Amino acid sequence: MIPSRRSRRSLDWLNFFVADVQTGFGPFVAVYLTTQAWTEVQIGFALSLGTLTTMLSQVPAGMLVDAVRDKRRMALLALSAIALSAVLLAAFPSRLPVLASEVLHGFASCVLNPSIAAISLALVGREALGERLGRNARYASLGGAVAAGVMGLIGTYVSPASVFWLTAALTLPSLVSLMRIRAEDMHVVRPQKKAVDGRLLDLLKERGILVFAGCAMLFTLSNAAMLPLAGVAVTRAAGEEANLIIAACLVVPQLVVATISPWVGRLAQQRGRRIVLILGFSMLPLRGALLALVEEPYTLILIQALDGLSAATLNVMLPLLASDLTRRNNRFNLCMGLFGLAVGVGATISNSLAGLVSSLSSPAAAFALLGGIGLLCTLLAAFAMPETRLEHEQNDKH
Amino acid sequence: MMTSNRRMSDIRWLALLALPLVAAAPAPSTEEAPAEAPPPVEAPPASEAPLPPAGREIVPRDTVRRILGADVKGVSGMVVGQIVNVLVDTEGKAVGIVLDYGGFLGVGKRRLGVSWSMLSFNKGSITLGLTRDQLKNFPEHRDGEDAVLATAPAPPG
Repeated sequence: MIPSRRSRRSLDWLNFFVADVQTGFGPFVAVYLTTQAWTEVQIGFALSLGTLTTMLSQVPAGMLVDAVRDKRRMALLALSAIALSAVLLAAFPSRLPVLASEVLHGFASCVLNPSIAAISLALVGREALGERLGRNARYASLGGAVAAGVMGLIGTYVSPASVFWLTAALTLPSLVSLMRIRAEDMHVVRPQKKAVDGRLLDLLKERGILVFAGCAMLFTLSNAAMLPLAGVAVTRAAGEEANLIIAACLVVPQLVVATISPWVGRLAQQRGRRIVLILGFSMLPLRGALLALVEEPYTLILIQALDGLSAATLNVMLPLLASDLTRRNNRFNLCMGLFGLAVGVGATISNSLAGLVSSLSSPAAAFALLGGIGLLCTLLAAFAMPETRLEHEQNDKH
Repeated sequence: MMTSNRRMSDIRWLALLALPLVAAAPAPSTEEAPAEAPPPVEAPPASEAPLPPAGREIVPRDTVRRILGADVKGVSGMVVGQIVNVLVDTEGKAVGIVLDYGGFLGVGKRRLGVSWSMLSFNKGSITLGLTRDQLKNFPEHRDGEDAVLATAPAPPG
């Protein structure tokens, strides 16, 4: 079942533009709200509301995408909602519209990610999914790299609001790419109505799902705060070139992901999932240790390349394992929602924990702690994660 | 049985709600007794005039500006951060500001205290008289600790 070239290319570009769209919604929202004279408490509240909405929406959004046959329509609705939330931020930076924007964006993101993964699965089937996900990650990281550079520049030189106008504008090429994916190429396998072990609780009883959810949480707990903390270290130590170095720290991991992700997907298909997980996750403790020891700002750029290695692993393996582990009941999107929730929990705790340790002790101690958590994640994958690749799936080449 | 239990819990809730009212009631009399300072303002007798309404000072739009959230430019003219707070001494005179400084796309932002004397206000823009290199390794501003404000560099020698 080989989908048409048009559908494959359109999916590539969809990933590229969606990554562009999502880039502005990171730490930059706090900067934008500061320029609108929001106090720190108000900004914290708005961002926490967004985080909470995201966490609460993960599983329900997964269920929703499972239940709907037309995955493209779900992606369409989600993209429109994200466009609306960007416009709300740019045009109406007062209390209620911003809160609405955060909630809307949170929910829409939780629908968008599983939808794209589900579209990928419907296009290429389980056998070729690893490599397809690798390609998704490649285009997404290229989009992220370009967007980080461009949006950082216009955020500094034009105005902070312009970043969100650009974000809204970039949803248009995303929608075009989405519509160009041909429906005839997609073979959606929906969960059966009364599937045996298709409920949330049944998923939770599956060892592979529990272990990987734990790994995903520990991974993000370790990974999420490393870049912000390193960024502050760069600003502190680097003087005039600080912004350039930080831009490089943002772009380099994306380029690494773009380079190696299809290879990661292929490796997972040919040699198995466990080896990929262990190799990729082990970059985290290494990076934590290096960040704790190294002070020179330019070296941080090299260390950020390790970020790319571990990020490529998670980005490719998360949807792949969701597909593997839901072979029997086809609850792919629900599983994606579960993993997304684990990632969200990890990310939320990570920044607070690292900030606390950094101010109580030192940034080096925070990096060491984050590295230690990364080590825990690697060990969990090494000792508790079952292999989910099936022998007969290894020979398909698409 | 059920209805009498419900009534008992209803009464308990009413009691809980009434407690603050009961507690608040004696408060005014205990406050007035030890007061030696000017007596609390009571409704003035009919013969005294009420206080006059507040006066109005019209300030033209272009002569004042808000500073919270305002962009601060560096020596080169590029925006380097935003003012997030103003620090005043016990008499209310501005001593310094807290600045959200640096960063790219929001990554790497630091909170620094800057002395008021290092800011220059001209024609609607606020300029910081220190370069990024001069602020290298400057300690971050933390609430609850002594504020370290960036000020003019010490003269050499």
